[in-house]
Amino acid sequence: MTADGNQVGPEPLQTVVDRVRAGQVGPDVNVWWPEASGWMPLNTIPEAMAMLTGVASGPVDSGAAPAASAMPAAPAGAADALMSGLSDQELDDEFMGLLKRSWELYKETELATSIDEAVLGGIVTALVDCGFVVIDIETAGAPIVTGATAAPTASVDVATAGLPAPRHQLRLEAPDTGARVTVALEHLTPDAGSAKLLGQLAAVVIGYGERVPNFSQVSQALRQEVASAFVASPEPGTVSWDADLGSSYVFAQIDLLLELEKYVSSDLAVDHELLRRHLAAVVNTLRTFVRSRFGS
Amino acid sequence: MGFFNQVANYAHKAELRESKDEILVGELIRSLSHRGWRVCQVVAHSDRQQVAFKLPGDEVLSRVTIMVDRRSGSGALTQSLGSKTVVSVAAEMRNDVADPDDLAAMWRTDLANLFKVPVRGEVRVNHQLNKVTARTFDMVDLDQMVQGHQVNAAGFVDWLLGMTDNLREHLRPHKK
Repeated sequence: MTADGNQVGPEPLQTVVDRVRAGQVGPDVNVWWPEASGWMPLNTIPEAMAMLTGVASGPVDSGAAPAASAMPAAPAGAADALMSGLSDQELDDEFMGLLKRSWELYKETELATSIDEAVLGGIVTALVDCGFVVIDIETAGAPIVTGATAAPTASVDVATAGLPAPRHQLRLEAPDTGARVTVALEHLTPDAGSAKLLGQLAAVVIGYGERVPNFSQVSQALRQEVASAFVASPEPGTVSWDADLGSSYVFAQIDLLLELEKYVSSDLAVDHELLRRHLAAVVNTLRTFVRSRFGS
Repeated sequence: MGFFNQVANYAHKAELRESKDEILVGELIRSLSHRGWRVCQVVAHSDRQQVAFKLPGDEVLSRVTIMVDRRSGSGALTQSLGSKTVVSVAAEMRNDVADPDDLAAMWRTDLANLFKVPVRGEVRVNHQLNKVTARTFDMVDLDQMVQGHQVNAAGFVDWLLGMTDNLREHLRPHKK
């Protein structure tokens, strides 16, 4: 660059522009940079003009436009080029649009990971509303423990103790009769992709148990429990038997597949009344099984 | 009544004694669900239950997590606690858009938390970029609320709602 016949620089393009704005040199001052074919007036360089006028220029041909008069391209110039042709308002609108859509997608994922627990809360609410009390909760991912407060059934496999539970398990008791309801729920479509394809599905095992007065009845149920253990991947409607030798309970259990979206809306509101109706229907059937088999 | 029945009755009563925290959590879920809180997370194992709720329509809070930790270990401290149970409440507030100024607030709260000793009832705020949480804890006596099958959780639920109100006021200044 020449001013009063003297060459100055090298210096960044922004400095040259500032000199023009300050009146130290004219806009037609000659500039040169290593990639340039020769000296050329500043006001013939689109990027320099955009900086001078404060208006974003169109897409800049990187081969023709220097980033600085005698310096390598500065990062700020590249960022400006990225945003060229877009007003601040347009950029803000695009950003907010991306963020809004991200939240929508996140909420879909969140629903897929929360819907089974929303149903679990709904089952608790529906049964506690009717007078049951919760005596055990184990959730998927929590370690399986053994002992008096362990899993809902007596058939905890020692080999699985300490491993993460693959499903949610609930055990509730009716204070007046001592009758128990157990629920094991495994979310089959826990990610947004499979849920979109198949819907929100869960494999559920609902059990109903009563205390029986003598050891022989419990041992009979235990024998049937062993037989039940050979039923691999039970189909819906299969009734199996279980027993808790410690506190003398016998249980009838049934496998079902449930569509969780029937009970939970996209904003996690639960239809407690529908859950209550469905639980009532299942418990009624299982109670009939238990009483007809063991006469309790 | 034979020996079998005596053993079974004993086992049954032991199960109920051990289930006081679950009984309380069940009542908590029921009570708060009827207030419009929506269960979004349940994490539970033998002596600790954690339930998170969404609060649709709340002007400040997006989520509240309640943890009932019985700490039924075998150590002298946990044995001395008896039926005393630690209840923690964490309230979460979300801002859809992160503000660069939040960085300064985040560092200030992080630094302040570094020197705080956990004290029951104290509120601790943790500032993330687009999420601010406030948490506190206290101790409750399970025996006062659960006796056998009988649950008297109304006072407990009111107390929890009061704690939540307190946390909400700590978070309100950060809401954008």
